[in-house]
Amino acid sequence: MSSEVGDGVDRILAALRERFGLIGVPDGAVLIPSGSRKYRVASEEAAALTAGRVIGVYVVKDTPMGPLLSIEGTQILGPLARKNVLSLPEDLLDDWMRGGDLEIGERGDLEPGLVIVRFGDLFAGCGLYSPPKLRNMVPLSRRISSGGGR
Amino acid sequence: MGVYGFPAGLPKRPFEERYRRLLGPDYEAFLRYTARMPVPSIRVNPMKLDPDILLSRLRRGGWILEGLPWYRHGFRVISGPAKLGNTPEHQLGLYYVQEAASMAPPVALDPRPGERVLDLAAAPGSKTTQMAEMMGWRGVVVANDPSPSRANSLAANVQRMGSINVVVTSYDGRTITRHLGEGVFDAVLLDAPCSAVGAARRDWTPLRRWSLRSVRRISRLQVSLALEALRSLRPGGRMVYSTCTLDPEENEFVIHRLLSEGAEVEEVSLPGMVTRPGLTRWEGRELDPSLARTVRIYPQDNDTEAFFIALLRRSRS
Repeated sequence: MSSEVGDGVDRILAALRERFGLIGVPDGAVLIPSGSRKYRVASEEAAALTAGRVIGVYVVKDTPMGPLLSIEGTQILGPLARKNVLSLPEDLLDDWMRGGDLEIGERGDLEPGLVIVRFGDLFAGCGLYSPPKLRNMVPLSRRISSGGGR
Repeated sequence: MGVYGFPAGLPKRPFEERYRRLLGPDYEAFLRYTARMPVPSIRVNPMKLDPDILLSRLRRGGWILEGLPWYRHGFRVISGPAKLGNTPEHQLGLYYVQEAASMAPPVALDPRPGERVLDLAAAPGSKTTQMAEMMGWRGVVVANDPSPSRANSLAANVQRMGSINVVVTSYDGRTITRHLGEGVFDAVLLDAPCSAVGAARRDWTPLRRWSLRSVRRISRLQVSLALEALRSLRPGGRMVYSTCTLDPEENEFVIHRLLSEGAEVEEVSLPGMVTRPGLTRWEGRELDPSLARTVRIYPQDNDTEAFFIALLRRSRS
């Protein structure tokens, strides 16, 4: 790994630690850079292959707002997070997955900025907490359309 | 309107004549089931959420599910309140909409954590992500599809299912060992491009396109892919060859060709699934007796799409 690549991984790991209290990736997995300030998680054996055009799963992007975790990023790394995790009632999941912003009021346990969003056992991506609102950051391709949900 | 609700002109007469010879007294039941839409099915993702939690969540939401005997994470969806591809659980990668019989080839291959596995014709990724989950996201599945657009949809499904042990490649499968090397994989799945008669339960197109000429053209491609899949396998490694069609020239004939290249046929184990032995004779041609260990899955036997599955081992010498 070149020092530039290693610096990028170190930088995003530091940002994840600072924002979410994350201290690494699950055992048997590694974080690898993937261009455009994006990072992926792959099994050690997958990361060792150089032939692929896509390796593992995109988990986080280094943005001016801080580390923006993908849905899979919150599912893989979220259980290891110590702070800025927002737990919401499960009956709000459909609204969230339709792409709607949510009114959540003032939350003393959260810092304004990017937060991991979970509904019970389900981690469902990141939102931008700007009290009293939670701005929806579920990508268009992962939202449900109006006929979906319950 | 034709027989059993088929559009006029379907199935074509040459198809009917060939499949009557192939299936004999089972032909009418085959045709009747082929004319019917299959019950949809899903595969739940045990790596993202405890399947029991997901199942009770779906049932609370009004879904009626029935477990498949041959894959413990597979379920038929008897009814439900929304489109299967438009629910939060789907979009979060908690399940994959996958035809019930198509879960069988990975079960036959039985990939294990830590192995190096090749899925040679992988798009859209149902079997790739199933194998990744069976391996507990350990080891690696190289998922290949030669078409860049299909490889993109494969990558999107790998992302949605969170399969961190998958690497997507886009090579011509007939030359895959030039890029990935010979003898490097513990297990290979070749779910080969085929005439897709099994998929006619969802869409008549395969029956409209069917011709004996196209079967023979596809058969030549299948042999090329299967030989290359075998070369990519380490000595003693195992391979599953499958198709969603029943024509012997796309199935048993392909396997017969591999036997002279150092492949041995093994028994396929699919507990709870009704299967029939592969053919050892077709249209006057005698095939190796070990082909009786391959399996044919007829739509009327399990109310699924049709499939053919062979489990092979590359000889150690």
